[in-house]
Amino acid sequence: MGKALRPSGWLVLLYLLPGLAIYSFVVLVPILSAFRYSFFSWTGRPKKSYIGLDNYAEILRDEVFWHAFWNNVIMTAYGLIGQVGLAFVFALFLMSKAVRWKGFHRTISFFPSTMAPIIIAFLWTLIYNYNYGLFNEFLRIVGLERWVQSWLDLSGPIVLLVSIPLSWQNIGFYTLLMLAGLAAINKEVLEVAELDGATGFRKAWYVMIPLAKPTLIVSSLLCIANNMRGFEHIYAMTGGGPGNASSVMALYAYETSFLRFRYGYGSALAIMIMALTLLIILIGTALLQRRRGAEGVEH
Amino acid sequence: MGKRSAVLGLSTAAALLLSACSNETAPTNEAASGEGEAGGGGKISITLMHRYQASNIGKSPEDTAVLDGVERFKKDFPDVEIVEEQLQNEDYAIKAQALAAADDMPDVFIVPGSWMTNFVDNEIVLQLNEELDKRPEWRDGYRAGTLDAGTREGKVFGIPIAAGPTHLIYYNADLFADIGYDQFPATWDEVMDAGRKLADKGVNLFSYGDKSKGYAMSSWISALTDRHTGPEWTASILSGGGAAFTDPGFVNAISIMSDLSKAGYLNKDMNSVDGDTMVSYYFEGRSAAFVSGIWSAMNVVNNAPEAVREATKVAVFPGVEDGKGDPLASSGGAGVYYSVHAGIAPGPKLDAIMTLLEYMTGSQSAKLMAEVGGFPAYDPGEFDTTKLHPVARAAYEASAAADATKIFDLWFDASIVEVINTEIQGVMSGSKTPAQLAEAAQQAYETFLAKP
Amino acid sequence: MEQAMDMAAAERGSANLARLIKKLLLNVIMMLFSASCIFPLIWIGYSSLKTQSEFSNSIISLPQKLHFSNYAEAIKLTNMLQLSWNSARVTAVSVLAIVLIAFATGYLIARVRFKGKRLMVVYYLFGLLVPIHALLVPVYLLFKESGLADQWYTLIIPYVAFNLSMPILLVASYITGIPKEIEEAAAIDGLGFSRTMFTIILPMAAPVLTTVAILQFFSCWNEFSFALVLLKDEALRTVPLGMSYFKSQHSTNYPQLMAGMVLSILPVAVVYFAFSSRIVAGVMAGAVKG
Repeated sequence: MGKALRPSGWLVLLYLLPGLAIYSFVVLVPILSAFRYSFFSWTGRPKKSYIGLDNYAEILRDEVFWHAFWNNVIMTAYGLIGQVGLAFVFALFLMSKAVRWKGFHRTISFFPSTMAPIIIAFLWTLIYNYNYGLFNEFLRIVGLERWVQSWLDLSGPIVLLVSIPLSWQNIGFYTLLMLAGLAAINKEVLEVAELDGATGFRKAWYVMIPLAKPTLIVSSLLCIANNMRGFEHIYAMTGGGPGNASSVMALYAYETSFLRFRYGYGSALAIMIMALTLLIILIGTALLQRRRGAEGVEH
Repeated sequence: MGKRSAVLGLSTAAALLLSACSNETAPTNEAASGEGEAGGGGKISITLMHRYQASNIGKSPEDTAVLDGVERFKKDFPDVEIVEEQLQNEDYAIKAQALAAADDMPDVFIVPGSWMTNFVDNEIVLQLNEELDKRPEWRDGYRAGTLDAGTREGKVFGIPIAAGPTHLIYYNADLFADIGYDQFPATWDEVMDAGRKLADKGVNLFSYGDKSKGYAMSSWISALTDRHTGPEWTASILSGGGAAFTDPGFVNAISIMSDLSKAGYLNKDMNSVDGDTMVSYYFEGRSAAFVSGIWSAMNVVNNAPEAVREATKVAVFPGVEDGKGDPLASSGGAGVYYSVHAGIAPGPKLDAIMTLLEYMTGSQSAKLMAEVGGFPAYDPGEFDTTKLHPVARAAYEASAAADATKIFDLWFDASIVEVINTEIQGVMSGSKTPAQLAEAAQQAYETFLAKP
Repeated sequence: MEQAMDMAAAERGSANLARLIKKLLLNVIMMLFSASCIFPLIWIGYSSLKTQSEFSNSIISLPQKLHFSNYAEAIKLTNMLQLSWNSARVTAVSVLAIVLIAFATGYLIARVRFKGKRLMVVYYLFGLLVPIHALLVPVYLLFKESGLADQWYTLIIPYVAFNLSMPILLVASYITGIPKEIEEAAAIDGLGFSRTMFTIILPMAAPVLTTVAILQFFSCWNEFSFALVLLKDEALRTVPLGMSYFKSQHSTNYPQLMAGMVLSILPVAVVYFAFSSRIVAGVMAGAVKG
């Protein structure tokens, strides 16, 4: 390796410093202070009293929080299917020679990703609206009048219903990531596969998935992280309702701090959200690694 | 060579950070938040943060009157600088909470009644008794009871702005005439009967919009419970005097709401639309009535189609059989207050602040608010009612006539309010029973009582 | 024999038919999906030109007459020019800083061995987990105590910090795909490390940097919570804050709300459609080399 690739230590540090400094300042410091507050009972102003692990003990018993956590998990599952999964399928379609107007599809499908969450939420609240909603209008037009619903009032499928706009917004982004990942697969590999008679679905399954695995993993991790800390769409669409049927962890933490004045408990919730997200990601990674190991044995 | 371009590349990135950190000389109004200082003999500067917005002038009586007060103050006291921040309702709540936690509130700010206990306990707000005592004729001008939710143990911490019922029924008299009622039904049996007849015509009796989780409590539950239990129950709950949420009065109040919903007399999307959409449904003739506070009167006047506007009349809930409450009463009182930062010491600055508060909420502002259809906390006395639309006048008169009962969300502890707000959505959507709601509320209440 | 050939031909024919159907199906699915992405926006666009009563009579029909008064009203209520300028300034500086930092960091991660590299990558990835809305109070406290709140540059700091993780990841993986021989050749030519990095690799990384820039442009432009909490001075407000007047209207005039939405989407849409081909090209180009 030439000297071009071996800069001196201080140079490396110099280049890394601006990023590390600004990132540590705004991301790390608030997390550390939240961590500290999480050991206090704090309802505002400087009045804080140290209560040790009481906040965390309360979280363990807090049914509303665990309900919200479960909603996050379900949303993440929907996200993995509806965002990453569908994006993978669409990316395959877009690579297929059969599909026309690829540029058009890529451009259009990414556009929702450019919009502010509040706009997306408003748009979808209208789409689901009982009287003014596009969705019910569509059902009426195709003659499924009896399916007409006040969608956001259904507490059963509410988590699915609020997950759809998220997928709608993010598919384009993940499709792009997939396209990038898939484009990296050597064309020759595909041609060889085709010569072997592997077409369509089988080609996708046996050839594409293993090769696209790094992209799939990165996309899944992003998707998990985004869904576990999701807030804005739900806040604006349902406020966690009906009741707290669609509440999620971040919304609950936010309400705890901003509506119930319990900053200490709210901070503990924030720390918990990060811990749980990390845990899920670690479990996910471990599972993937184990599967990879198992595959290795098979072949 | 390498080093030079390294420095070049890095400095571009770092310059941003450095300039951001060192550029402290940029003009800032930091001085304005100086606490307790009267501006060192120079100009007095008052920071003001509230949820009234210039874009609502002419649409909302409160915004119109309060902001007019600010303008008049600026004209009369050109040497006092007002650094104002206007925010929309929900945004205000977020921002104020962050500032309160950081002990960085402006000099004058809005405090909803439900926050008051917390702000008093944490010494965020200033006690105003002495200052008000210096200005007795202003102090005594507020309507009875409007200072209550801003007062703790006799100490006044908040100056009210608007008062008036959170519960009024706005109904379309034409639609009710069509089904044989020449006024709003006088008993709950008649209400259900009217609901049935309206449903036959494809119209909802009430439109209802509780997306914000709070509407049910302030416009329905507070008044309905009082119809059943009278104010004694509420007083007993507040003092821990033995009343319970599982008492029949409270449960029956919730049952009335649940019955209306089950019978299909409300719009299906009652938990997912907001108050504005609720009113829109009424305008469009999808419902024959809606329940809301005085603030909706001007919405009807300004935005309803002419036919609806001319047909709109105002009523309150009918009494209930064996009910202990006054059938004319409505839940009401001031909901939000202006408070002053606890760090402000007596002196010219505090004097200026008190004068500003008087300009924003006192006699002249109250007159204007009443004239444009609001119900000010300060008694405006005689005012020009000629410009008032009949709907607004009816709402004003109903407000003035109604004995105000307590609005639960202002008085009950936030933890209890929260539970009821959440559970009522379950009741209305049919997944919970009124008894279950009562049980949950009682549990929260007992937890609250058990706290030291 | 002939029979067999006929059968083969028929088989080929039906295979062609199947392929045609498949092709049609794929295209139909993609068209439906793209339509679902764009139709709601078209709907908002033309509905914003209706009156409220027209809208409530039929939500789907086209406006009978174009009501531009909705736009006049929306523009009157917000100071679009000032808001846009503030947003543009904050966004431009943030994006530039993100790109530079992400490039330097990503390059070092991809190419240079140094102590704590793995730890640093994990550290940056951790930023993806942070629930921003649950941390508004500590963030506000930090800015208040350091005196950085309420300045024109205030928002740049969190925007850069919270938008570093993904760009660093993208840049690092892109640069990993660039053959090392390029730097080795540069070294033989006597170029130093920094020189190689900025004059040789930076241009080569342009596609991924463009992608990063455009992606972060949207996230900075649309950010709301920090803008709300960290700014007091109304003259510094950004577009998303100005849009909150949607919510403060006392009646729901849907067409007018939609007019406001169109206004707030518009600048972003213009940027997007102007650069959309580059975004795609950037992402794809990054991968092809890999």
